[in-house]
Amino acid sequence: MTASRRDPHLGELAAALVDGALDHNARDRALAHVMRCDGCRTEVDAQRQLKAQLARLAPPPLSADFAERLRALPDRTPVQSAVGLPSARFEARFRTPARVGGDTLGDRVLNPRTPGRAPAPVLVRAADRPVDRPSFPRPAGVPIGRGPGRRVRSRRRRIAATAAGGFAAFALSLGAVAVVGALDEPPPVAPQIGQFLTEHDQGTKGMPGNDSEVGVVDATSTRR
Amino acid sequence: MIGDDHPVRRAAQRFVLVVGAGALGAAVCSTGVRYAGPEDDEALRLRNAPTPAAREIGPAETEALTLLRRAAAAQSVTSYEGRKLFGSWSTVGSESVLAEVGHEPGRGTWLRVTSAGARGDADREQIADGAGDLDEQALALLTDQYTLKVGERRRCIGRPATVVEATPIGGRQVAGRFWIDDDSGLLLRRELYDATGRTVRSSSFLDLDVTAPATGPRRGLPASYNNGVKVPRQRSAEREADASLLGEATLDRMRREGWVLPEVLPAGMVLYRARAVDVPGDEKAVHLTYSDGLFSASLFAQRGRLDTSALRGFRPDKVGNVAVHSRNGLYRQLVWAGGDTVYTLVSDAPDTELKQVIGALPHDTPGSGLRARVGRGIDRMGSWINPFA
Repeated sequence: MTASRRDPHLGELAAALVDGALDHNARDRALAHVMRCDGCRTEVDAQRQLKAQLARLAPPPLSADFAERLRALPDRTPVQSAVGLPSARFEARFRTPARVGGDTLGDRVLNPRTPGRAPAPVLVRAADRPVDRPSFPRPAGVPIGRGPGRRVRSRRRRIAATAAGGFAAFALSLGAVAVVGALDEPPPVAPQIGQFLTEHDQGTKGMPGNDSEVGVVDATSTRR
Repeated sequence: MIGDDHPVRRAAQRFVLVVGAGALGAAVCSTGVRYAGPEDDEALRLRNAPTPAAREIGPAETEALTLLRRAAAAQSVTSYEGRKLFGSWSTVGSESVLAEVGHEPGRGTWLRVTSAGARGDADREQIADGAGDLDEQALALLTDQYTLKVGERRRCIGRPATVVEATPIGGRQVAGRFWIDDDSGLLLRRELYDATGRTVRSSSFLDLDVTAPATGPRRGLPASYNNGVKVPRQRSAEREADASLLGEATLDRMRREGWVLPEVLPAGMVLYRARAVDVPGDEKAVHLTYSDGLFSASLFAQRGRLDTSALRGFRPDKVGNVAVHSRNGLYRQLVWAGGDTVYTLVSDAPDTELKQVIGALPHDTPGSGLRARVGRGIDRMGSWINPFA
């Protein structure tokens, strides 16, 4: 930031600064400006007081009708639905750290580009970076999302998907042959026990150990 | 060049794995759905005793055989009435039945059960008259597996009787005893024993009134008897005339069609007669009669799946490792399924012998209903792609 250059006033960003809605890069630049600009400092102070007063107020009662309408709203906001992004990914966009020298809204306001000139670099200390996920060492030259961990996870996913597919194919095959087998199912058979007992007697006539009356007696008892 | 991570290559690998898993599953099914038991008749043939051949018998056995034949002949020429007690004992319980019996030569035998539980107005059951002679093949089986002996004379229901004993060849324990009335030649009592000597079957007159005694010599030999030196194996005229009998050629053809019709069963049971039996439905039942000369077993085979709802008086049971439905009457009655065939066994053999017999016959393993259906499906689908099926 050069002395000859005059920072623009915060304007509508004063409320965003008070609300903590600015990313760290814009916030740092806004705070640096507030330290130097009395008008903006007054504006920011006024916003803070207003916010404090609003916070002290009791929340307005929620009418039953409004609550019903809120519950009736779909899970996705119109923006999400229109974009078609999963909600988790949608939220992640807000959490993505601002790129150094990037062109977020704050950057565009606080660091307007001049034609033919590259945006001024802003140095950000590592301690000031928002830490919203653990950082893993990534081998040099390996692009984001292509590390060995992701490859292992991907392979496991493929194996699981293949196993599930194989199991499903086996179950389908089994079901298909069972259905086809049901077409060939033999008719039900109820053995004619009484008849078989007398047939046994007839078949063993002439045998030394045979008593031709036993089967008839047994057949009689099956009818009782 | 397609790299390792190329989507097309990954999709191809996945397809191969999925198809491989399906094929592996089908292969497992096709080998695992078969029923337990022998795969073909050859296994049974090899496992069991050889087909009996007639052996030479001595004078002592000839006399015993003569008495047995006389008893069979007396049945067809003597009129009598009496009360008879039938009994059976097995590991699952005992059964005894009292009945009134009467016989008139040429008109057959009548019988009325008078045991507790029977209806007082029960009709007489009529039994057709037999040929009046022992079957030659049955005698061959008996003399091939048992030694016969004329025992001591005893009184039975107050009548003088001669006892004939049958002992397994090489064994010491008597397997059967027959009390033969000296006067009429009728069989007064018959008892069969298991290998430990316990009685498993008996039938005996409690009282007997011979109304028209047989004529002729008391111990004369029937004309068909060839002096008992060597008993030939031949079919009786009655059997030859039976149109329902199944010959060897028919049995062989049925075996090629998948029927399991063993020539021999364990415990020395030899296929003695095969018949086609009319039963309700489109298909006939195959009735195979097995005997070792003393004990006998009838195996009925019917194509279909077992419908247990019509089995009255049966209960789920296990004989050896085979799940069956059993009823303990005077005969042991066992029903089970093996593949697409329902088997019914009726026998007077001891439990130990029946266990061997059933174990050698086809039987489903528990819970194989679905597997059998899958097996049929695989067979049918295989026939679609097999041009030689």
